[in-house]
Amino acid sequence: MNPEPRSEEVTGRHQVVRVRETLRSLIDLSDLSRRAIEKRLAAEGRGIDMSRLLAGRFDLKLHQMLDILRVLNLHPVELFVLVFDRPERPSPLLERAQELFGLDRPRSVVRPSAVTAPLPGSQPQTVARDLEELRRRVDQLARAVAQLTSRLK
Amino acid sequence: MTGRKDMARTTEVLCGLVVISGLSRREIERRLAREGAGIDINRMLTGRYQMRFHQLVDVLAVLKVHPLEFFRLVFAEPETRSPLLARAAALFTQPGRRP
Repeated sequence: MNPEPRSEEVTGRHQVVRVRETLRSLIDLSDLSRRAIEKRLAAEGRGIDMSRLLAGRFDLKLHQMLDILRVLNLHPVELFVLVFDRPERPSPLLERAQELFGLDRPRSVVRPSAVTAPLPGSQPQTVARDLEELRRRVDQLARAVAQLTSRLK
Repeated sequence: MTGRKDMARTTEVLCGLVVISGLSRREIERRLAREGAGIDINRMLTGRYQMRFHQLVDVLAVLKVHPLEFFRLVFAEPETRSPLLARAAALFTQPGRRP
């Protein structure tokens, strides 16, 4: 299996930028300030400098991201759906794993019609589409918040 | 899941995928190194250092596993939409459209 050249879109560094942007937008939308998030994490013995983290001054560790999501009361998959474009086709390796171990395929990753458990108030087949739409709108809102903040300064 | 359990599960699933891929850890390191990403896979998979998010995505790229598929495998699907996203959705809901 020869490695194929990867586009800028799929490098880990590029994806981290998107994670940071999305986290920033979600924090802006939440009732919590960066300082309040830091305080809650510090109370659990986890010190994170939110401003430096969101500014990309150090490498984002997976556990830090999960800690922040927990404070925001956000499920990790909800963030990742906002960050990553859905794959066009299933990963061959996961298909092989499924054949070998009879693993359940993750729901709604490739085919929205595969979603079986609806979120409250949603029709199953539209959940994935709603999340995509929400991602676009969160981006819009983040831009609006940034504009408003700059006007107030 | 607690943060520690989440990390353990992430490492466990990644280990499993590396085994199934048929690629040796050394080969994965070689491919990453060719792209300028130096990662000690052994240390990563044994939890000897804290996994950077970009490193995980890079390893998944070598395995040709889409990150979203991976994370859906690691974390249980959310049973309810988080209040924060529900509020964001409500902010943008147009009259007559389902939230």
